[in-house]
Amino acid sequence: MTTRQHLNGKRIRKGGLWIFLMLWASVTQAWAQQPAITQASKAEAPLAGLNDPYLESAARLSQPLKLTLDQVSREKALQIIARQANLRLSYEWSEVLAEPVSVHQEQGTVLDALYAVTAGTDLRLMISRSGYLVVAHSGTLRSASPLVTQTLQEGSISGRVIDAQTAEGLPGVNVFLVGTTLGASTDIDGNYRLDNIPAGIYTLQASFVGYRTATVDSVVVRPGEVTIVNLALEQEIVGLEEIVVVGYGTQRRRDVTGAVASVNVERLQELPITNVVEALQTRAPGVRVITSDGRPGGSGLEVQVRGVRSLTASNQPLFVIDGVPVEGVNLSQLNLSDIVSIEVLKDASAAAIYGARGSNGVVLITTRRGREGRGRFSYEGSVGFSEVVHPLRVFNGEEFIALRREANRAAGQPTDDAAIMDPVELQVAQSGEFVDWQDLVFRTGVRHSHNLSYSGGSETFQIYASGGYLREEGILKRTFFERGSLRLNTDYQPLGWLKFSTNVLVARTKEDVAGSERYGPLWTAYTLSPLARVYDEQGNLRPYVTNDPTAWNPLFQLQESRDDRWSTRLLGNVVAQVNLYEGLHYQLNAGLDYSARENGQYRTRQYSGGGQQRAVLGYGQGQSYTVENILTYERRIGTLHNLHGTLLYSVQRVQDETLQAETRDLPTDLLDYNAISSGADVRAPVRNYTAWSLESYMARIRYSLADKYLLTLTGRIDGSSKFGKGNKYGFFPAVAFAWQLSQEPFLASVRQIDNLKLRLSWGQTGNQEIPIYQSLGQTGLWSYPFGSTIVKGYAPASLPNPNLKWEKTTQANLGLDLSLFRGRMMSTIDFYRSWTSDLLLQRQIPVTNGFTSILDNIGKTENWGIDLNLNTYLINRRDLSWEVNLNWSLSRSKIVQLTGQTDAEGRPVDDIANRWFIGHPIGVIYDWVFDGIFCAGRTYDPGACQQEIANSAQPDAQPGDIRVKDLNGDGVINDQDRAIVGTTEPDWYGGLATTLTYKNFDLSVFFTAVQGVTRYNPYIYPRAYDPNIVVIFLQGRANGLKVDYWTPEDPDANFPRPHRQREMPRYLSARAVWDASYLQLRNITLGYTLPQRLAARLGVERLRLYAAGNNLHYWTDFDSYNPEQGDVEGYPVARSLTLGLSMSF
Amino acid sequence: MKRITQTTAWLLSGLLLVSSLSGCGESFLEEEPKTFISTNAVLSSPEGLEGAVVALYAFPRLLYQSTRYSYWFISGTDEVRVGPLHEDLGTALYNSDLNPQHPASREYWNQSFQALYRANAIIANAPKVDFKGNEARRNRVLAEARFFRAYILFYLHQRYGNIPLVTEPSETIREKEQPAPPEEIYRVIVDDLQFAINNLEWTYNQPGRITKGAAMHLLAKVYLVLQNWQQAGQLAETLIQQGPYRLLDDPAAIFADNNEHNAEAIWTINFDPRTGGGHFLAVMFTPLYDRIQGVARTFEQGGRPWARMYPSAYLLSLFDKNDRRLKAWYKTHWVYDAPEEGLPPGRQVGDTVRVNDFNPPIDSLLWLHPACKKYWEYGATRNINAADSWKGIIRYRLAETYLIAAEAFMRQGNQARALQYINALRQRAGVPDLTELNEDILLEEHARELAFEQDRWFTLKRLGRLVQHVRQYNPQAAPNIRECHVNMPIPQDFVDLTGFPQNECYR
Repeated sequence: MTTRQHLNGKRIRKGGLWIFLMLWASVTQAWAQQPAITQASKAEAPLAGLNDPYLESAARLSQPLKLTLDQVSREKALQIIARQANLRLSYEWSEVLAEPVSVHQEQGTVLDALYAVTAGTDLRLMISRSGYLVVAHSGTLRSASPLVTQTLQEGSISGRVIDAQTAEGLPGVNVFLVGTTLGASTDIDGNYRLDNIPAGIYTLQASFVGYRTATVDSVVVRPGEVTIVNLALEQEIVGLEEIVVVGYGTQRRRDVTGAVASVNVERLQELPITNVVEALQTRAPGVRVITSDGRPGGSGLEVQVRGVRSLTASNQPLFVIDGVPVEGVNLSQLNLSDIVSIEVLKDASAAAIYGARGSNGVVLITTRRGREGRGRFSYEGSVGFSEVVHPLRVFNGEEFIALRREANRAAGQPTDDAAIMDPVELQVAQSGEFVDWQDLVFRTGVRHSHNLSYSGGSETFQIYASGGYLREEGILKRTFFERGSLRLNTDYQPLGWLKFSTNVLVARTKEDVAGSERYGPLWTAYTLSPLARVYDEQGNLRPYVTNDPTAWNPLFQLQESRDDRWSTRLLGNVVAQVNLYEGLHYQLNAGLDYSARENGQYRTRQYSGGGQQRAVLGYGQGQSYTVENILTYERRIGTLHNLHGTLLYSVQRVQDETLQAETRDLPTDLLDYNAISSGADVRAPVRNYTAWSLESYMARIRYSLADKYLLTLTGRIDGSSKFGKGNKYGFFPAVAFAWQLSQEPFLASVRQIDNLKLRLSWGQTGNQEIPIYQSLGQTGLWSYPFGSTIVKGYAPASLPNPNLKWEKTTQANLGLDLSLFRGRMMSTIDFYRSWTSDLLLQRQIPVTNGFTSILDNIGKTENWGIDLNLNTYLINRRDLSWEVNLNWSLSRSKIVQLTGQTDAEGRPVDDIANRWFIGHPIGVIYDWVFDGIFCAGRTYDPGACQQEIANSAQPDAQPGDIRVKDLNGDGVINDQDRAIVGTTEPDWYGGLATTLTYKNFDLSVFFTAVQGVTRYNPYIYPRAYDPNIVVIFLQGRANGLKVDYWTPEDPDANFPRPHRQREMPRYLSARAVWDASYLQLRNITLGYTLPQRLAARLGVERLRLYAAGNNLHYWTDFDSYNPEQGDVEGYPVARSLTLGLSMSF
Repeated sequence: MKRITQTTAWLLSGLLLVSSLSGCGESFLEEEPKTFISTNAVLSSPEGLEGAVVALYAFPRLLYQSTRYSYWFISGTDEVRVGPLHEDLGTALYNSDLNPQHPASREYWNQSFQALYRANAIIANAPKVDFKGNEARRNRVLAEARFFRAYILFYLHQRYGNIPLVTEPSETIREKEQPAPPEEIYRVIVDDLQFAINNLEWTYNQPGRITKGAAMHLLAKVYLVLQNWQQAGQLAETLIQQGPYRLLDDPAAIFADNNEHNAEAIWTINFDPRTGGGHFLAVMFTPLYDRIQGVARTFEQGGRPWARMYPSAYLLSLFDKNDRRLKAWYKTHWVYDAPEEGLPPGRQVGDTVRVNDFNPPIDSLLWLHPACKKYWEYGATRNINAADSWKGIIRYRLAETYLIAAEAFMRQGNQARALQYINALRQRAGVPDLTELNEDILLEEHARELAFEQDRWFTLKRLGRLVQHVRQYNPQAAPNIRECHVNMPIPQDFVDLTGFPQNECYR
């Protein structure tokens, strides 16, 4: 079996041997490349024969060595000596090694230097059978003599340690036998060898910084034989040796030149996260997740990487799952338990490899892979309960009656109960049995999830398989999200030069999206009068809760409707890796994202007073395929130069089609939408088809010099079908440079600094996230009934823009990575600046063009910001540790140029209609400035009030109306008095996570904060989010957010006087601008891991129990279900308590 | 062997590369829409153009499909009062809610110009299309499109006073806009309508199509605005004499269910549940009668009530008590019909509800205000609790043509012929003939005949009487209305975008 090593190893160049081996291999090729599994645990003759490593190493000890070391740690000194003497070093770390030593040796041998370093300690030196310089305490060394003779009672263990992800050999891994002091570290190819082991059965452990320790049980050592044990190490998330997924490959964290943030997925497994997007919430600096809607399944989440830069095109990052780019933010089928890492490529140099789609950052999601070795099962299960975090404060029964009286009085209408209430309302008012609608439509949600996974495999075939089930019942009655998912990830290496990998996810979800329709239960929950009857005498739900047939009973609506959705998703890829030549690899990645969707909607004959009975059934199908050809070449030239090149050619095609049918007037309600064919009134089916494609070429070169100077050059060409002829292709270059300062001599001796790296990058990326067919003129279908004949025809529905092209972002990044005190404190800080031009902008145009907007490439924006991550172990002892992780980001956007038009004085023109102002951030609130309420104060003096109004700029105002500032002081309030009163871009946002571990207990707490952000409160002025919605604020007919309104008797108020006949008070929008800053206690988790002995007694390897509270509290002045809530009919965010356990066996 | 395996590897990867490349030919990055036709395709064939005309018909219908905008043409005159559930006091009372942010004003403006673009696109392209020698077919398309262009421009100008004139689809984006001189606007309107009259038939087998009659009617109205009395009278008379229309004998029959295309209707806007939403005019003018104990919600009593607006006392005072139109088109009394709710002491089923039946007395204006029945619908297309109705809205009818003729001849001093036309309406209503005619008498008859039919505001404005009549007969709006309120506010976003001057009253 020596052949295998020689075929792939460096020694292949040794002329004669190579020819010999070629001949030999051609004869024995059938089994020469057989799976290595047959070698594991198989005893063989020792390798010693040609070159004895022991003798070689011993000879090196007597070589001369010149050395000057000043106050370096003993450990470092040993390392330096070993490196200079070309000796492989193995040692057991202890406090003694941390002590500083000084050595000045002008003459002498390596051994002399070693003695000098270890003098005065009980450290002893020996050369192992395999040629290692072993440093250990005297008590633990079997022989203090450097010359050890092998006895026949002893055997050896040898093998190779590889990275589980990349299958590359890992150098420098500590391999040792549990319960003994025998150990060694792996060489450059990951090979190790332990000699002089007394025959017996052992447990072997391999540990390495940045990787999880691997353990192999029952290793048999026979006298005079070598037992082969190969190990695959799984990377751990922290640390410099951490392997980072960077797109089209991986890299060690220390070699990364761009701004790449990793999300610690491990920490998130215990949170009730249904949609993976939620995992990004303030977990990585520069990444912001906005929860505008809390519906189960997480469909209401929006992700921003480093703020916004595009005005119209999407600001959402590109998601790539195991190398397959997916469309939009569509991750609800993914199971977080299957995910091993999430990386966010933030700066242009990192994201430029995704060229045309990199402008908003790229999120790379990697799923788990099988591990060589004994198969392992893991189970994770949890059950949780949820409720509304903050119910809306609405008027209660008495307050509502008072409000209605006042609204009528203000309108000059009668205010007695009989006049303002219908009979039902009157009865309820008299009985005092008011209804709390939120209490009725919301419930305690229940969520439970189960995941079982298996990981294992041989040397050539590894498998990871998992099955997950989740059901989340929402806090709105009837709503739920259910998911069953299966994942199978395999790696198979049938031949030494060929490897296949597959990643396959099959998931099915089912959802009830009750309340998603306009004026549905979420609307009525806060607008319905508390003067209402929910049930009739027989205990049945009343369709209307008063005599008003528009007062639909939300419970009745829920009962009389169905809103089901299903989806089936197949997401996966097949990767074939071919080793063409030394260091030259070809990889074919064929990925498919297929989804089938169904939706069924039904409204019974009674729903909303009838007339709305309907059955709707829709089917949709999306498929996106990606084919990537990747050629990589890696070469080390000498000891200084390291070169890594990647070439890519890829194509992607995305296609989506839907068909929806609707009928009305069905004979029975019994069959729901399944009876769609029985509807007498058949509506025209609706069909939609969209397709777009992308063709890309990419080249990347990574070069490192002495591991100190790292350079990455990238260029990508993308062609997209979405753009006009001649504008389809775009070129996106990037360059990045990193300097490993800590490797420089002047810092190498500063033992407090583990790592200090400076990163500089510049690059360009694009944005193509616009609807398709925009460069063509689109038409819409119209129909009109002429008598009983319906005539249909197409008419223009959009202005074509054949000149559409990429939106381009140029970004520069300056970053610093710092690690101090042996990982006790790690920090990453990035400053960036970006310039976006040719913005894809849905520009509002005068309606005299026939349309109110057109998609165009116009204008420029700028963006700068800081991302900071700080991770410290305040306490790091065996039984007690306290870790604090801080993420802090700020980003500032600025519009630099719009259409380029100038006014009469030559000043550039702002786009007031779109609220785009040059020199101001993207997303400002431009409105009148709220200046109090007319005649507010302790007492109401009609005379003084008249005077106040007459002297104001709003002479036609009534007492209790909203007063706004007359900014230009011309005595009139008009559009000239509007100003920028706030921005939706926060001053900063961040997250603080802290974990305290004591023995087997751990407690973690996570806070999220967004500060300095302004928003329209949707519950005051919903039109800010939906221009067509009815505003019913302080009208007295419907309920609403409880505010302190003005009345003549109680004029001390900051909201206007209710008025029966006003859809909304004048200048209401000015009053709706609120500070939406918040601090959120997002999560507290208390966990207990069973001690190993106890776990073993239960027959499991690891068992952990935990309780987690999620979304616990918001500290905010913003009155809403949650301060990021967008629409008034948005689903409230829930607070939950989860109990769970995880175990592996 | 080493070489063989490597060769195999190269071959294999070469094969894979080639196979993945072959997926994309020349057209890989071409967009090919499958579920819609491109604009060019639509505007370059006779069938496409005829289809595009359909979209124009949708425009006048759109306004009524919104609950709040459907009375946008009815609100704010001497004929109507604000009902208890009215939400848009801006147009009703001319208060500060009527401002550049006014939703209906913005919506009407935007919808008008969007429809105008479609009309212009058809008008610009129809001459270039090969109609295979069928010029009549081409002219029919052009005539319908030009009717709608005139209709849109006319009502835009009447409503806003200042408008930009757009007569062709712009090649480049229009950025700045200025008001067009009215004479230019009306030159386009008159030209368009004359073309429509010359190229349209009196009837088509598709009821609801624009006909020669509709174009003549509209042009006659335009001539009134232009004070071209002679042309207005001549057109109206031609329409009355040569058109296939006649006055129905029974005023109630004009607005009966399933009778939208009766002999008096010149142009009816059609609704059908299969082509979108209905309108809300059926419920707008009904008081909250069903809240009274002993009164049930029935179609006869008014169906579902929305209580947005009701006839003013001034309007009702104009009617002779024998006027057949009063009973046919207005409901002033409600009766007890739900004994299970418990009737007030001494009242029987069928008795008229009186304010004093209850103690304290009920508020008559809240629950018992009179109602206009012209848009009522008795179950032909809706159920009792639904608000939306699909009954057609008669946009123009012959009675108005009679009034146009009467006014035109009156202005020309031809009292006899003027009286002939106006008395035809009075005879049908069963009231004595008029013996003389002047503007005041004409306005009164206009109110009796056409109240709530979306013309009052325009007629009052045309005669310069809007402010005076509102001040005199609409006490709610009287304190607010100013002369400048005859023009609606230009939407703020349009002003922001184009620098178009805002109308007085709203600056």
